[in-house]
Amino acid sequence: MTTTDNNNKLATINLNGTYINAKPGQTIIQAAMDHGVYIPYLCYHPGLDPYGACRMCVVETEVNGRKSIQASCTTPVTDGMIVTSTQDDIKDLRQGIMDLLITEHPHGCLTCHRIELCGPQDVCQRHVSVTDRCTTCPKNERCELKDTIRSTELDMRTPLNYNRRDLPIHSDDPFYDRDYNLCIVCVRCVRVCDEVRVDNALTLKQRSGIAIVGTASGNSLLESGCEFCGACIDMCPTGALVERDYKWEKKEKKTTNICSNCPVGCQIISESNKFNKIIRVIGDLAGEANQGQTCMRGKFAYDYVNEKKLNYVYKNNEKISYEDGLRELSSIIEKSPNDSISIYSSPRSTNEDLYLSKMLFKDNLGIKNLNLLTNNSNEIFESLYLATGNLTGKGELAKIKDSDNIILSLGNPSEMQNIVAMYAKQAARAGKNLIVIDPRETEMTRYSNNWIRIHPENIYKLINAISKIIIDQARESYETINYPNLDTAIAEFSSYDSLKIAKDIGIKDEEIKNLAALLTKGASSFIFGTELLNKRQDKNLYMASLLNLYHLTGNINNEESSLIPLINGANQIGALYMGINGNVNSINDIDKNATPEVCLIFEDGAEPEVIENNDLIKNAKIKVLFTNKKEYKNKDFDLIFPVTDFSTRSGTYVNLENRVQYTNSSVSPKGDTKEVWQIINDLSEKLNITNINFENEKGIFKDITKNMNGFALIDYDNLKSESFIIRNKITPSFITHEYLPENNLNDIRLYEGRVLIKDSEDVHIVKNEDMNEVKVNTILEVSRDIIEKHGINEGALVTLSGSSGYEIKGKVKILNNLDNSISIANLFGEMAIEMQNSKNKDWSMNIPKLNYQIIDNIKVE
Amino acid sequence: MEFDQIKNISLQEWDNLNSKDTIWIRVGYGASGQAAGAQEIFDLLEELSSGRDNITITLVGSMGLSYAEPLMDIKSNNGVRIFYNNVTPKITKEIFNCLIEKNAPLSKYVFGQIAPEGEEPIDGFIELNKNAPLKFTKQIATKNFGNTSPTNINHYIANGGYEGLRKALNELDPEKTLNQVKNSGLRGRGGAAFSTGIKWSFLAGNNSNIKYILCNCEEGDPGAFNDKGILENDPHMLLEGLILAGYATGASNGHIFIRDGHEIPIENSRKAIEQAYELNLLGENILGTGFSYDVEVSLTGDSYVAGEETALMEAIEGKRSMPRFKPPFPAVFGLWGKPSNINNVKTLSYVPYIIKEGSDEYKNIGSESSSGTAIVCLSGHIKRPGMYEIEMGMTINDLLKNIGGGSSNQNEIKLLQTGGPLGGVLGKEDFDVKIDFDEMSKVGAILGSGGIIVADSTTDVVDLIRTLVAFNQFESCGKCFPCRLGNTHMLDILNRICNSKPNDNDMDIIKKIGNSMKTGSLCGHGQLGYSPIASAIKYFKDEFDIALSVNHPVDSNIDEMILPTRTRP
Repeated sequence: MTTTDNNNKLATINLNGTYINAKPGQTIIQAAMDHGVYIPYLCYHPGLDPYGACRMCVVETEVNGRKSIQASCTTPVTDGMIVTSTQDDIKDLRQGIMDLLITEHPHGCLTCHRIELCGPQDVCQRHVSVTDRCTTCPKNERCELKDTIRSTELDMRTPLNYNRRDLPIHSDDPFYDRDYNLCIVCVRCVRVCDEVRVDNALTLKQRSGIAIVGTASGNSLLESGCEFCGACIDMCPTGALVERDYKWEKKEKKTTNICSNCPVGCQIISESNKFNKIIRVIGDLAGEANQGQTCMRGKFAYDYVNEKKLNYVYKNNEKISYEDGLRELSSIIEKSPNDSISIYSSPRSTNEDLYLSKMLFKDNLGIKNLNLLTNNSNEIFESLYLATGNLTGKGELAKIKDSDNIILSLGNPSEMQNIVAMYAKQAARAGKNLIVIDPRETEMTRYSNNWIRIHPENIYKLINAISKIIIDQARESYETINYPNLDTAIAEFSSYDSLKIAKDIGIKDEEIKNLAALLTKGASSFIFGTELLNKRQDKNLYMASLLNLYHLTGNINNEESSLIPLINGANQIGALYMGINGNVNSINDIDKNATPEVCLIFEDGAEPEVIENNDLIKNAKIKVLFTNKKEYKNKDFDLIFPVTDFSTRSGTYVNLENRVQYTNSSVSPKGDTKEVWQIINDLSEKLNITNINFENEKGIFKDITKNMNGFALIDYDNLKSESFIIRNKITPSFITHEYLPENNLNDIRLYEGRVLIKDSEDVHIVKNEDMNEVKVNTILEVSRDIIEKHGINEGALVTLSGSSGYEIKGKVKILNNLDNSISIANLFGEMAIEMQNSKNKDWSMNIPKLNYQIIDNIKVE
Repeated sequence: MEFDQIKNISLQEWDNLNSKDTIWIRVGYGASGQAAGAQEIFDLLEELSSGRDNITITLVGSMGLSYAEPLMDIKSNNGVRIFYNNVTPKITKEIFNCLIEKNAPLSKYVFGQIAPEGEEPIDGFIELNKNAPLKFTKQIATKNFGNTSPTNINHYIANGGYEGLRKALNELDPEKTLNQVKNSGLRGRGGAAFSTGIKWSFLAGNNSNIKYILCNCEEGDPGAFNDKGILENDPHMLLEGLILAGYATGASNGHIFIRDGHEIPIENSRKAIEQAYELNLLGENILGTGFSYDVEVSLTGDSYVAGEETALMEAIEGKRSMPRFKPPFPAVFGLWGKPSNINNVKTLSYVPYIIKEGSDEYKNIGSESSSGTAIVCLSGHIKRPGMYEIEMGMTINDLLKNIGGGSSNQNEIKLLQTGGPLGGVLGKEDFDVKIDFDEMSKVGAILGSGGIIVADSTTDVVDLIRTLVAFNQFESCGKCFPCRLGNTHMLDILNRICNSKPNDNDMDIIKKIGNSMKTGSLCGHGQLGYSPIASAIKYFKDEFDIALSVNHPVDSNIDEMILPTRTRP
């Protein structure tokens, strides 16, 4: 019965009379859970390290004849251990502790004789005082504490004095309501904020009987370094922490989805009520990409699906039938030559939608202009293809924390691909090197132990200088990695002498050498975006330098090293696999010379500027929109088709780590609302295209597995319970470029950053209509050369302005490590408030990007 | 530098001080001396003696005779030390003038004398070391108290200091050093009384290249001041023990962990470490023997629980000092996840003696199962409060009579509070118990860290217990539920008993809470939370019965201890 393999030794324990096998290193409670045995607990949580505070999970253990009472959440199993969790003395002990616990938690309803009769809608006959009722708690009927109390079979007649804390309720911060009168001090929230999120925005305050959870700095989450990820809410076993919106709503149904707000692809559980509203989003612990976590955009940016929707087809803002709509659309397409049509797909579309789009528009109709409504980052994909033979990155997100070094360059994952940042922060916490290359101050620079603050156009020089050092050392020891183009690459590196480059880009020579030394040791993960770089060639040069370095450091075949591109579209990777962004050989921005007369726009999840600033769309003669957002009605669209959104959509996505995942629809679509693929399928029929004729998503997916690289092994039905990572065959190669960029660093730049926490003296929390607002003193970090040139003193008040109309006023501080530039760091909390109050309920793509401004004028007050 | 060279320099300095030409005035310092005004006396003497090259004034460690502070002594020509107790600036001036003018002691203020071996004592003055209380003490760890300057390593070395280290490094290997400690029968003085040698062998058996020896001087027990005392009065004794512990166990680092606010101990141990580094008694390649060892001082905030071994490690790591769960035990997963071993200050301070004189020598001192001495701190209703090192095996009665001098007033001594606030009380009927780990635990008392608070017959036991519970309640770290809530409710109930509003079954409720705490709590703080009440009921059940049955308003004289625990800022 017992396996005695030394490498993976199972322990057999006797749990309440039954022999069970436990994995090595497991605690008693984990082994019990694995075998469906319930041991009551409160402070334990499967997503956290054991803590051992609540003592609810006490059991009696017997090892070698020695009996003792232990907390099962902290005690590891040993072979032959006898565990009993149900005998009377253990029950008594649990009840004794629970007796103490309920003296500080309102529990009136539990003492009421009507409890089994009383529903949430009943009027209480005043058996229980209002403040002590369970029915007035937002967590009523989903309260972990209540379940635990019941499992201990406590008779609620404690002789101890009940003590109500009478603490103020915090309902003035964005998204959260906090009522510490309901807190049982299990500290799960503090622990998840520390262990998993590495934010430490929450802390345990005071001690002894008045120990209580609170914010680590100040009284508001806005000033305590909170990233509003909601992890603490998901952890809270009581009503102390809840999402403010829909907090009183009862869930009718829960659905497993994939979040469609960014390409991390978090697995989440959405709860919907009987009116088919999505009332809550919770990170799913079973999600492999996110391991139970979400972020502000994942947890709080879904209310848009609850807005009133467009459920019918509209022609010139007049409702028509779906059939008529299809007829209209097919005649438009038939009448227009294929080079006058442009297709703009939604980054939130599923693989099935995108596959059919490509089949119809590209393969059958020969339309060339197919694109995704997102910042396409084509240079990233192009370079990745040149360097690895694949358009996408490699490695698993959760493994980022295992790499010895992490290079994060020109990206802001803490806001845009939050879970990536979380893993990088966990790595930094574990003592790994987090090297951030970015002129902007972001959340990641706070965690970095190696922040290289240089101008974005100079990064390729730094990287090439590092590569040269590595090449020079490798030559001495004959360890060069011989991928194609190595010789050309070496020739290119030869002009990047670290001494020269250090002087050129304004950092110390030792820093470059230090980086080279770090990167040659252990596994390195590269996480990169192309933010701040505008010119295509600049991006290519930068990408080439990074990927060449990745090769030189021998990471491509290393399991512990990930290569993660920071892009924004939720299913942008899926679109690549489906061939939407053109095929490998012709990844192009949409043809700028084209003047499309017909535009088909699938709006959901588009980055706003991509639609608004797109002259091609603006100037098109015929515009067909696929959306279900009401705000698009009565706008300048010829034809509007209602399509599904997050709550009604189902299908598959591919995330940043090439993970194919299935998302369920939480509620059924109304009226004529259809999945995109259904409309394309029906349209094909109208256009007499015979090879597009599918019954359901499964049928499409089967076609995908036949025709699309990497998908062959995927079983569609299995995908509903288990995700699948496409492991691409990698053919590494060095990239070379002949382009020599001009130096355009003469303008004074103001780099905008954003951080979670700032000096408390610069942050002021003010009340506005009972809500907290932040006022932050603007600190302008001005580089020494500008200070000297303009004769500014530290502490002076200056106004900066640019020709674009930009203006900012603030106090001057000296910035030492970046020449000819000014830096500011805004507070994340300000943005969180802005998003909460945003008119556009689908705000997840509206988070203001961190960019730079050109400053022409500096005026000292 | 060779150790012999170091020793010669030290001896030279010491001999100069003791030469006939030098008048050496020593003022006892330490917390009790400081509180009594020793600094003022020292400053005054400095001022008076300015310009006189033959007079040296030194702040030395306190002798532990707290009742006599400020205590000052002047070495006479033949080396006999004449002591003056409870000196004031006025008295000091008189004594000084007498010294300058007549070169003679001022008899009316003389406390006593100590003559060096082979020297004749002066007639008419009491010989301190041949009379109570010092006559009944046995000084090992405290042998330099009042004799040497705690901030001068040369004083320590001149008096045989670091001989143990030299011997271990040159004559014994780590294993033999460890065996010496094992053989000595030394048991931990922090409260648990576990064999130090065995504890060290757990660490010695671990092959990690980073291992920590942590020395615990959190010492938050009211009435205990011996750990602080050692660091104040002779920090090198502890430091040498700490280095020896590192050598015996193969540790790489030592930490002296002191509660922030214990200012003199912090200052003195930092100075001691600095001096030891200068002489290469610490650091790389100690005395050229290839053994390397680093020591630093770490501080914690105001928290009693920080003295718990795992909470202490959390505090050093910069976290809120709350106990960790065990297992894993510190010997496997300790400070920064590395193997660690935690020892009390007193425990480590015996080690230099054990190594220098040999374990048998140490074993001969004390009783069968508890070898060595106990350093006890007497306070409360006692005539001679202070810190005394006594041989294990002395009875409580003897301690109170011979050392303490009996009650400080006409009232009889009623009980002792021992083992800190979690320890409980010891009633008169058990005063014949021997001071010995095993003997004391037989009657349900803990020697603990050695703090003994004496209470006379006017003391209200119920109120005293309420004070102890209030302390425990206030100091609960707030982590585990039974302790956080149990202490609060026990205090609540004791408050209502003391305020004449008891319920009939109050003592049963307390007992039930106590049981939950005992089996349910994470660390000793909660597990022992009920023991003061249990011990009080054992000796003074009648007083509790009276408190529960009749009007019993207590006019507590320790009101500030009963904090309003449930009001929030």
